[in-house]
Amino acid sequence: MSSPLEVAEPDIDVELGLGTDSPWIVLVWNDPINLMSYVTFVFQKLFGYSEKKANELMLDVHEKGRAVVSNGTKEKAEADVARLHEHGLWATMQKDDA
Amino acid sequence: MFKRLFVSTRGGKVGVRLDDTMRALLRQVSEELREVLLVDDDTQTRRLYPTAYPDDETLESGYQDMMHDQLLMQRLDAIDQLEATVEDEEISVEVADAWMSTINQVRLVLGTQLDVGETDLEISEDDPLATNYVVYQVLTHLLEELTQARISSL
Repeated sequence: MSSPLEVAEPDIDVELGLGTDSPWIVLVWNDPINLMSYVTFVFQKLFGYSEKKANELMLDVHEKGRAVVSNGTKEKAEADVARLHEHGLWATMQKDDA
Repeated sequence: MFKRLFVSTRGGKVGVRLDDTMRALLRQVSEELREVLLVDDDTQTRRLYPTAYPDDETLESGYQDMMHDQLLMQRLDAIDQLEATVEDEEISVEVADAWMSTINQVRLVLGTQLDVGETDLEISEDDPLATNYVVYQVLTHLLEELTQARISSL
């Protein structure tokens, strides 16, 4: 069994000239299966948000269909997306064009 | 009087107040989830491996190549942790999170199969999926309880 830590990072960063200060945003999308309380808990646990802030983000997801839950470099955003996926949340990332 | 199924203890752990039936159910769904993960039929597991880059196929392919097996290993590890502690009266928060992970994954698989939406499902008793729906509802209750216990310990 191979360790997942040995998996090589893709070198797409270099090709696209990203990975420096390019801002990326991480979005979480509303889905009918994940519980509201569970989503709030995951935001608190993963990002260290207060219960109030985590709850506000969860309500944004629930009522507006999605919310930006974190941002940063491509590497950071991808790590955040992976942790959200590990917890079963529907997360995507994109360049912040705003 | 309604009894809490999971409680946050003074020692920073999570007390488990489940009866034998509930523990047997958790053991059974854990075994079934392991099989589903190893077979990896996309119609069942697609909610477990969401798209990270919906607008870029190349980046998405790189992400899935990098993350799919890692997510699989993390999930199998969470199942192992649940199975090793399923009879315990008290579990650490790390183990509690492995329980939550496993319970929620089973809910995601069942919810996909049942096509759960924002409105309540109407499933008759003779529907072949009726049992799965009951299991889904029970697991929803367990996860809600476990989440409350964990939030109060943060």
